[in-house]
Amino acid sequence: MSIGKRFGALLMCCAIVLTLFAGCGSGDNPQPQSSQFSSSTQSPETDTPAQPLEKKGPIVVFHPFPYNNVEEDWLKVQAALEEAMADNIALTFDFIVVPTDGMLEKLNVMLAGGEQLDLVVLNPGDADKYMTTPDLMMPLNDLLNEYGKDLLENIPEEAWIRCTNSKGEIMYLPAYRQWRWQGCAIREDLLEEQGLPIPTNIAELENVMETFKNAYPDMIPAVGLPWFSDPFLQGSQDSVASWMTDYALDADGNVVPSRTLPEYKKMIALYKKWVENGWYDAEYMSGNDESHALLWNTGRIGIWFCDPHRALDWNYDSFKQNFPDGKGTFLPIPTNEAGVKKFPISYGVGRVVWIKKDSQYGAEIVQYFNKLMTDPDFYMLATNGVEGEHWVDLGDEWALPEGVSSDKRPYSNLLAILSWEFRDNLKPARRTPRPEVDWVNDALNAEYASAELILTGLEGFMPDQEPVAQYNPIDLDTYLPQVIVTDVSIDEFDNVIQQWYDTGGREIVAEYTRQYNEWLEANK
Amino acid sequence: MRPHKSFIQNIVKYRYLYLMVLPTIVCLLIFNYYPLWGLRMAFYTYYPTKGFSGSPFVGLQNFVTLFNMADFGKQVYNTIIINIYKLILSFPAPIIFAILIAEVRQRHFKRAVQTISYLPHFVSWIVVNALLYALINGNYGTINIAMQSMGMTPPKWYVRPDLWRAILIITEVWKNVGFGSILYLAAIANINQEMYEAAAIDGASRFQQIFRIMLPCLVPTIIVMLIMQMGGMMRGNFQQVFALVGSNTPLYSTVDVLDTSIYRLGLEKNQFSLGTAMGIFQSAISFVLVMITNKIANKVGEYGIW
Repeated sequence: MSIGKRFGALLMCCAIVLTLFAGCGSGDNPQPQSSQFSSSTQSPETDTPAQPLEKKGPIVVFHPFPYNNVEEDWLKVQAALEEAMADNIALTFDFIVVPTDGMLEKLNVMLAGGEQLDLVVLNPGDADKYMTTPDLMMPLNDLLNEYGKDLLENIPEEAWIRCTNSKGEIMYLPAYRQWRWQGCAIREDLLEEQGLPIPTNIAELENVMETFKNAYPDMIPAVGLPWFSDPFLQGSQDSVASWMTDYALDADGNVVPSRTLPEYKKMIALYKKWVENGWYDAEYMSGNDESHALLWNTGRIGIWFCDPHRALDWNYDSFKQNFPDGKGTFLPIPTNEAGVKKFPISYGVGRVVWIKKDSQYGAEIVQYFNKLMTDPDFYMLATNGVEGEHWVDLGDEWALPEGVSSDKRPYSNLLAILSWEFRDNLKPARRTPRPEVDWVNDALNAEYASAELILTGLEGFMPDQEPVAQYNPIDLDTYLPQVIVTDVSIDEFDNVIQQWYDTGGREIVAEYTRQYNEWLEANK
Repeated sequence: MRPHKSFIQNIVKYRYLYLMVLPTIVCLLIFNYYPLWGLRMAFYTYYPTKGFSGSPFVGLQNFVTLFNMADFGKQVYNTIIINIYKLILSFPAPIIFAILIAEVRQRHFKRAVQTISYLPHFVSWIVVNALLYALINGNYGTINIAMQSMGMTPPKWYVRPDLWRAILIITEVWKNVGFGSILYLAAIANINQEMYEAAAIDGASRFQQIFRIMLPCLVPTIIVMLIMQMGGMMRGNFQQVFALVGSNTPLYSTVDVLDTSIYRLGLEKNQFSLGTAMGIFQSAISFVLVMITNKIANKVGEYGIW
């Protein structure tokens, strides 16, 4: 073999080896430092300046709600926060910010891969799914009693109920905001055009849908996803069962998934009737908030089951561009036959964090959130960013810098992680009045406050899912929509529920009922 | 000559070639063979927080749970039936396309058609989903609007599970017929032209030349591709189903396949053990099918891969 060929072979070999190592990647895996909490080391007796605390961390935070936050900006805020707490908590962070879509898959891959994670940010419903994994979450009772007293005192009891399992262990730290996001928006201008009042019950709503269908053939009368429409409509059916309500008690006192109750058949029948009459988009399961927003903004739908803020506030400008004379409003909660409005209870917990059990920084994390609760400047920094760059101090109020609109803020809330509505009055935001949308939030709150609460009887009880992790009944989310949109009879609902029981549901119900009875006994 | 001495001599003689291929073998061992050790997850109730040492060993219990899962039978059926349809419709398409291309005489037109036919292969399934949605969604789909303008009532495609196996096949053919024909075109190009000339002299028509010369010469290639296709009989096209169907659950009755189920079990529901068990089931069946098909191919005409 010639020298040239030998040299070429060696060169190729080296290139492959280098590619291999480059592909493996080195990553940046700093070893966690000591987590011993220590107070400030400054001695009051001498003039020697305090030694800065040894930095702890980085605390790895999985955060799947980036919104419009820009990395460059949140790193600035992070640096400012770390400096602000350098003499007491002395934490450093490593935020893993991922898009919301597919967040659970990304989290599961990280957990399966044994990657370091200390703090996980999720919606409470998604967080509940991780209850089945033993030794995953750190119970927080002791930490809160020692380092989080202000959190315990200030966050309302109802939020803590949502975060506590049946053994009395607090598993999450909650955000708190009574934000009603399940509702319905309607084209008020089209109602006026047709001489119809805003519907207040199901019969009137169906009349509106039929009128829209006949008067506007290019329009779909109503569209929406079940997690918006179910809670909004269930009161009109006098039902405790909906997509939003996980568990309820059946007639025999058993704890069952609410959608397996016979009364949920009424909801399914309602949707089925709407689909068959051409009032409701049969392809609703193939859409999402963005595609429905497009339909709303282009005038293709008259009624949209959604977060009304989305239709009437966030998409207001886009809608008005296409329909300068168009007008939207939200539907009042439809009344039942007795004329009563009902809406399911909300614990006000839209976001939670849980601490991974093997994290060395549980105490520091609780202290961080406690500091957010007690230190107004720290809270402002974490929620609004660096003063002068991300917001402007106006004394009693604050405002965004000129040229920055509220929906395009490069930094907002990311490092605060949890927001509490009762902290909004620390320094209220001065907003440029927009009378066309400013009315929405207060009006919605008033509407929902006027409704009776739908209670399941399970308030305060959260079943422990680990003992039933082995059971895999059919997925109701797969089968129930098929009853609505396909040609099967409504009685297929009974077959679906029977299948659910036969494929492991029965064992789940037995276990949850046993836990519930124990919990009742313990809480007498 | 003792065999091991000649082996060592061989290594020494071609040491630079072996050195060049060594990193590839190391890569293969690390990224393809070492991860097989993780398949033991199927025999544990695996908890990531506890690792293998802390997770209980359950033997074949996960497979029992798998076979008793409510939707497992339907997913197996969907996977097999969709693959059978693909075998009947999607497998011959590139062959026929390659033959047609090979028969085109006009060089520029041939090149243009080939290039255009390859392009869909490089389009991601996510983009295909967006294109498909623009065509067939019930609200503003182009096909629906066209059908309405012709006085027809368009179906609600996204709630008609009976239509979706056909949609999967059609999109698969559209996407892969061009790229898949490359292999067959290469095989056709390797056919000795003298055979065609001899056939022409003997009075064979163009069709006869295709059926008597071209196709028989393509048989080894077809058999190899068929063996590989049979190996994929228990595998759905995850990317296609995940992108086009997604979480549109009304369609699951006809198009929910094992691959998407594994994804949901493992990555959405955190049930790694069950997902692994399903994957092993898939692979075991595929392995058996490949062995059988190869054996049959060898018996028929020694066309097997090994």
